[in-house]
Amino acid sequence: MKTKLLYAASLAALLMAAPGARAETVGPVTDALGVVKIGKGQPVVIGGYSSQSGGDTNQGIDELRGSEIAIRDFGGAVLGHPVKLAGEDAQCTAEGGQTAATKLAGNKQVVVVLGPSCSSGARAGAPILWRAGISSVAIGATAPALTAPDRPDGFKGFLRVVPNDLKSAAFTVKYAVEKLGVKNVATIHDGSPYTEQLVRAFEKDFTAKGGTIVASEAISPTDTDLRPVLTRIAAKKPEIIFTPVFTSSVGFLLRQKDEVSGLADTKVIGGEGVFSANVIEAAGPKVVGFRIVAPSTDLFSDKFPAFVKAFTEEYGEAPIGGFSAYGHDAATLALTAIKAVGKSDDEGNLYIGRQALHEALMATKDLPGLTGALTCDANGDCGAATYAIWEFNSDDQSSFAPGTNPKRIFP
Amino acid sequence: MSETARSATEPGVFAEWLRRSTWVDFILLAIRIGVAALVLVGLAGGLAAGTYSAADFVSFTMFGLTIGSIYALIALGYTMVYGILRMINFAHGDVMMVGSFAGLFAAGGLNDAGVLGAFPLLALPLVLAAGMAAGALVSIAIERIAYRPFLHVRSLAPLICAIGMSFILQYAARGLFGTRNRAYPGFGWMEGTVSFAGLTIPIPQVVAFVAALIVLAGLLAVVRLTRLGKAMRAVAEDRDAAALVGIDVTAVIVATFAIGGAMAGVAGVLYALVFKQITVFMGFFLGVKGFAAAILGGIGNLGGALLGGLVLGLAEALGPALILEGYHLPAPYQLKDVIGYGMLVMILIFRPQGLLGERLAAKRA
Repeated sequence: MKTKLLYAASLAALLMAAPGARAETVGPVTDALGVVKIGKGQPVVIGGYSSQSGGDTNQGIDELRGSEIAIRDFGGAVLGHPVKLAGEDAQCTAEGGQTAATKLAGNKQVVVVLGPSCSSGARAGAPILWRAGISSVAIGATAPALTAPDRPDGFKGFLRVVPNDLKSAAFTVKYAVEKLGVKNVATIHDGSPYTEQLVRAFEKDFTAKGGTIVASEAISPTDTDLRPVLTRIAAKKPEIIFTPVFTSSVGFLLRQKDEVSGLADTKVIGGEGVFSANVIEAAGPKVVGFRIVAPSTDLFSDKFPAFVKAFTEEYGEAPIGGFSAYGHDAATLALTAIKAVGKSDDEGNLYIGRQALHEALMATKDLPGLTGALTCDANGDCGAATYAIWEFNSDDQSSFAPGTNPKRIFP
Repeated sequence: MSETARSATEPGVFAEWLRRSTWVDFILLAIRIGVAALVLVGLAGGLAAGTYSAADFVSFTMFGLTIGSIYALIALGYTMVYGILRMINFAHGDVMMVGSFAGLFAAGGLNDAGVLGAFPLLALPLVLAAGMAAGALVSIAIERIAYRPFLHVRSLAPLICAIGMSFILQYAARGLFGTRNRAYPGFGWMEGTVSFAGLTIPIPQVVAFVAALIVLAGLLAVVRLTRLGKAMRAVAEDRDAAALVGIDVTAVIVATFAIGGAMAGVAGVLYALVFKQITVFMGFFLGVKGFAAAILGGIGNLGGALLGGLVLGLAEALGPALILEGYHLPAPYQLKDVIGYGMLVMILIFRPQGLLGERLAAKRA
């Protein structure tokens, strides 16, 4: 009985672990993970999953719009086949990521998937896709664990064009220590993989540089009353509060912070999740003086202004933050790899090997993207962007424009 | 507990209890003692840790009362509908959301019309009225479309239908208003704080608490003193008998939904005044809290809904600071809901009829 169980377990593990024993030969292509055959004149289907509902909708919509522009910039076609982007809603939750990824994995024509927007969705979604042999190129999922060298096998097919949070944590620590010269910092996360891992990385780096984390607090994303947490933090007298939580929480935090005695002069540093006009509405007048660490969109490659122009013409509004640029880079990365490995036969059918595509994605080197030159490392990190500290200086929502409000104050 | 207390004075009772009880009773007693010990140790530790000053605790209490009175307003809607239809109206939280948005648009309109600037004190009642009207209308519409066909159906169908209505409201609002967080306007005079006996309390909290109490008093007056209230109580007691003595049951049900919806609308506006941010998805969580408050106080009982709301609000506001702090947990506020819902589970185990119970619970069960 016991051995039987063991066999069953190891069989299950084998089936779950790697999308291994499924080598397949279709037309001229043999591939260990399977081959996608695209008939003559049929579109190459690229999946996309991002936040299309919930509080982070604007980010998700912008990301896939960026991808659409990238497909257009690529000529709308690859190897003579039109490209179709099949978008799904991953919300910003594990459940959403799971649903969207399951849907995409069920479509055998999906060659590669772009997204998701959030680490929680990637944690649930990426392994589902990879089990179906589909590589995914994340647009907004930044949690370090997703590309850690010891990550589970399910994440072997996961790449991202957005920088790993370890990078943003190190940058924030540099700002806090070298520019502000603070010694005592409080942190708040909301239990999501992105905020928690970024906060942990920040704490580790900050402590290593001789600083003290006086309070390490957590809230839940649905909390509306943060006064007790803030009171608790105030008792520890931090010089700054570092909290990469999302829009609504930041709104409550900034509005309630000044009601707690002892925190009126404490600066708050947020994360890139609130790099949008929405946070101005959420926090109202209290947004003035709020700082965030976010990609330095003004240091993006020189192609970025042209992209912003094309984006604005297409959708009638300017892109928010850098999300759409990551969407663009993810699509460019995917299309370049497809172009490299796709093989056509005499009848005009296109064959793409999944394993070959994954290898081509991982081998990306110095690909000119919007956020910089994209080079993927062995763990799937391809992000090129650098960070900056931005400060909001007006509570007028229509004034949102990276460069003026918020203004880059470091470096 | 009371059994042990009595055993000291009346010898024999304890022996009798021992003879009658089964192992289940012992386990339940053990749970009671365990929970009591957990709370007491936490309380002692929390007070000894001294993280918060007395002023902090008073401010938490004030806040707990504010949010508690909003929960109470929501709970009333659940409890009134349950009392009459024996059904949980799960769309109630989303009715609150609609009321909140109606208030937002009313405030925007008043601002554009210049009323907000000219008569700032008049603006609040107008915005509240908009929230009430929208809540009542949506609630009546839900009753007519979704619940009336099930009036004489004894099954889970109305409950499932209620959950469906909740999604319809949420996603209709999402389509109409978008998903971003909307900022709620203050009314100038509401931006500040009041100082009272050395405490500083934000004015919106005071306004929300007082407004909630006034509305609750009004509702109780309606139920206790008017013909409609009498009819409502009659229908709650026995729908068929009420119809036999000439009460228009349908009209009473509509009135109940209208009043419940109006309460939810008020709750939505007051919530937004305190927290300054609303989204189309906020109805769900607040609905669950209101529902928990209704159960806590004893569903079907108006006073119970009030008490349940206040108790839940206070438990959330004070629980982490008073009890969890004593265990030196990192980040105790993440566990805020554990206290509120843990309390709910305890109530359901030891006092299923709720804190105040429903007078007729036994007969109807």
